[in-house]
Amino acid sequence: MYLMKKLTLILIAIPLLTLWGCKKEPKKGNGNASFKTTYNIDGAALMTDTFAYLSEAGYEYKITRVEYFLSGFRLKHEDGNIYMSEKVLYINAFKPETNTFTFKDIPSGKYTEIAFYFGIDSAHNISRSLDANIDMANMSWPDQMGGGYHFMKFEGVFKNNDKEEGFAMHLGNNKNLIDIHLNHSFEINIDNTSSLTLSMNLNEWFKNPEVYDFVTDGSYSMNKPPAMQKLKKNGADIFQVK
Amino acid sequence: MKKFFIVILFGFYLIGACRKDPPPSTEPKLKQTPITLDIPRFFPEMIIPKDNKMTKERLALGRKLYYDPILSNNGRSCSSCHFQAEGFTSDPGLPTTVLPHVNLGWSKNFLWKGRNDQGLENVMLYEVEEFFQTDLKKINSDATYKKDFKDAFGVDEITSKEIAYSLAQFFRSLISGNSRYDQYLRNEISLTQEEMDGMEIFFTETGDCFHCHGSMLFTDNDFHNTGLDSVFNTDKGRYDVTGKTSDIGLYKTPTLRNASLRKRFMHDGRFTSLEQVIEFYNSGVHMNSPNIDPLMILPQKENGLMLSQEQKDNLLAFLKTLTDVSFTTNPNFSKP
Repeated sequence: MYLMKKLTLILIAIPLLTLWGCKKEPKKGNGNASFKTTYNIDGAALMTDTFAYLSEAGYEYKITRVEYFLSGFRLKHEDGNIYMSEKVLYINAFKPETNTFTFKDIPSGKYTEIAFYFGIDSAHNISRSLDANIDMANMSWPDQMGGGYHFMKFEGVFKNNDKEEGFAMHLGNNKNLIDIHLNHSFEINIDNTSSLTLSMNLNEWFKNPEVYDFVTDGSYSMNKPPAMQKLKKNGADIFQVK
Repeated sequence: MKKFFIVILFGFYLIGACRKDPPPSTEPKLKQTPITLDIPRFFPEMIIPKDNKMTKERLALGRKLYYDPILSNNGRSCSSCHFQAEGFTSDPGLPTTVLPHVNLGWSKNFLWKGRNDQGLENVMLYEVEEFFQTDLKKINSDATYKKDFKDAFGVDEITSKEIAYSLAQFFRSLISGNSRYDQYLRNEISLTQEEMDGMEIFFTETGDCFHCHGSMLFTDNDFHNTGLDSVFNTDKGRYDVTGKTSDIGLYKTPTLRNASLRKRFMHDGRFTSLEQVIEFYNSGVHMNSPNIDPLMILPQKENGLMLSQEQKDNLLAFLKTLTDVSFTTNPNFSKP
């Protein structure tokens, strides 16, 4: 009788223990942060095909391409600890599937700052090192101009005295990496995913603190250090977090 | 002693229960021989769908079909227009240029206007069902093919899907990544000074070729209007597929690998040599073309590239380094 009881207990306990042991749980006390990137031009929606936008220097323009990398995400906990990610994220404003990304296993608690690099940190900005897919490969920055990858391809057409001319704001090279810091209070809760939105105002590339003029600064920034430096300065506050 | 055995058994049970078993396959159990493609150094990750992993049997079948006019009802096969010696393209005298079958395992958009962007298997399905309009009765009445398809796919009845899947496998194997340029990147050879100067033009703003023909594939797999025409009347490019006015005049960027072997260039075959193509970009671009790519109308390039004859010669010399003889003579790609 005693043996029967013991056997019954074991038979009940084994499946329960098995289920408990195999269940995939995130680390205790951790949660996730899901990011979405959105775009506006001084509040107006991002569209192609139309000269709907006006740069600070006074040029009407339309947008044809917005591709960029984000990397080196750091989330600052109120206790001073920093969650860091090694992810390098390729984003194309016109491909929705590239505009959402998630960081997992983040210690729960209150966070006060989101920081990241606009571009690819120097440890990863090495020619042909990121070619995991075609999109990333297409962002390569030729070795002849320093190698690595384009941090950004922001292209379109502007009106210069009614004449349509192209612009290509291309950013690359390690010295033009933009370190973005956004003060924002948010919480990471255990076993939950917090949603955050990074909203880029594309017109900010052309103002604040510097006015970028397509004609005098150059409508093609690639390999033009002064133009890229100006973009770097303006790029520090292109994002708002919600 | 009994307790000891119970503990041991319990341990084995837990280990066994926690083992991650692969999900049950939906494909029939077949004796397949998995193969791994030899991907050249620096190339991106190839897109291979889970339900058509590379196998010796499917690849061999795809290769056989590629050369077999059984695919069509007019005695033609893929190889009728795609000659290996010419980098798997040719000049059949059509009003459109035959895009080369090379490195399509990495392609996202297919055909000049991107008629298909659902993957290689899907575009092959289009070729079988719409382009060739393959007579399935004919192929099902061929005893050898019946056996080949049974071995490769486990099917008794051959459908367009299996034909498309096997063709897709052969297309994925058509990899060109051993040109002199590749050998140079691998530090195996040196290029001539002329070729090096041409490479400098190609990969800098002087020629600005790399933005569309960049990466190891020498195509960005995207669509551009490079100013071939001022107006687009009947053939409106990608617009014919999407209906978006911003797509009028846009065509897919062709790869430049093995371009020196081609006899026709641009989507309509208007140029017959690489020299003509270079001259077009040098001085013939229609800057007022609708939806012209912004990179074509930068202020510094409003009169074209303005290369000297020496620079044009050097650029041509570099383009010729993209010719891959080991690809055009590879016996694994020829008619079986």
